[in-house]
Amino acid sequence: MAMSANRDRPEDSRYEEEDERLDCGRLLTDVWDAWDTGRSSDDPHFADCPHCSAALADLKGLGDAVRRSCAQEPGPPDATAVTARVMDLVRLELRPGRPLPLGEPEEDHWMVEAAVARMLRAAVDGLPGVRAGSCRVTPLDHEDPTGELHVRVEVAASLGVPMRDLADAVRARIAEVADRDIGIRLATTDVLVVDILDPVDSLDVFYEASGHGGYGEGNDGTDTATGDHADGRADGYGTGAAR
Amino acid sequence: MTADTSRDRVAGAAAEAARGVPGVAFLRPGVADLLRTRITDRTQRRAPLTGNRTPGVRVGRDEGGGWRLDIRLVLRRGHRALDVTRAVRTAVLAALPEEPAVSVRITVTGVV
Repeated sequence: MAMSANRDRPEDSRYEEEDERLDCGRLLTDVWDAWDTGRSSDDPHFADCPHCSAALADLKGLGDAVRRSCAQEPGPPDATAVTARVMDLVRLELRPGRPLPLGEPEEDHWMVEAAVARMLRAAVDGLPGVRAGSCRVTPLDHEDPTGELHVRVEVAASLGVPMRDLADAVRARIAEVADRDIGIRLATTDVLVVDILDPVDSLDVFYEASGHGGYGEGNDGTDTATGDHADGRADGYGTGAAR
Repeated sequence: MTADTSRDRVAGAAAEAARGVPGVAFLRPGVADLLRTRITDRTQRRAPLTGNRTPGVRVGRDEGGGWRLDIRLVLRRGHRALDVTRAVRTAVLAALPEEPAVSVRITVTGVV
C-alpha cells in the first residue's frame, strides 16, 4: 500500500483505502451500489459469493429492521418518510463524507462532514419553530480543502415567524455551535426554508403536499434521497478526489 | 519482522495515549473493520485483511523516515472537537518521546 498521502487532500488516499475490498475482490461500495440500483440480480456473482452475499444481507437486514420498527410505530409520522430519513442517515454514517478542517489550516485536524452536519442539525432543531433537514458542509473554495467552510441547511419552519428573522436565528445558532462546540471556521451559511411546519396538520401533509420532492416518496423506502443526497453520494462523499 | 513490531508498538502507544484524553469516546474502527468482523463471523473464516491490530490508528512512514500517524476517534458530546483533537495530538507526541519525527493527523469521525 504505497499510498503517498497528499496532505492537502486527505480524502484522496484515506477513503480509497477505506473503501473495502471484499475477499472476493469486489469493492464494498460497488456491491452496495449494485444493490441500490437493482443490478445485483444481473450478476450471478452476488448470489454465489459468500462475501458479497453477507455484505448485502447486512445492508438488507438493516433496511428491513428499520422499516419494521417504523411500521410498528403507530401515529401520525408517515413510516415511509421516516424510514427514508433514517436510511439516509444510516447511509451517511456508512459514508461519512469528506473530512472538514478543524482549527487552523496547518493543523491537520479534521472532522467528517456527517458528524459536523449532525451537530449543526441538532443545534438548529433546538430553536423554537424550526426543524433542520438536509445539511451540507463543504469547503467554500473546493481548491482549498483546508480553508473556510460553507454551510447550506434546509429547514422546515413554523408559520408566523418572519422568514428573515428565522434565517438570521438559524445562522446565528450555527455560527455559535461551529465555533463553541466544534472549532471549524465558517465563511457563509445559506438557510433554505423548504417546508412549513404546521402544528395542526400531520406530517403527511408536510411530506406529501410540499411539492418539493420531500424526503421519501418511494413506497419501499429505497428511492429515498433528495436530489442533494443523491448528488452527494455520487460525487461528494468519500471519493471527492477529482476536485 | 522488526518493522512490524515497532509499527505496532507506536500504534499501541498512540492509541493508549489518545484513549486517555477526556472527550475521546473511543477510537473508531473503520466501517470496513466493522463489516469485516460480521462477514468473518458468517463465513467462519479468519480474514486477516489489514493486519492492523489497533483499530482507529494507522501508522506509516513519511518520506523522511519519520512516523505518520492517522488517528480516528469518536467524540464524546459536550466536548469541543478542536480542543479534543489538540489534546490528543499533545498526548500522542508525549507518549512517543523517543521517536524522532512524528506527524499526526487526527480525524473526528463521529459524536456520541
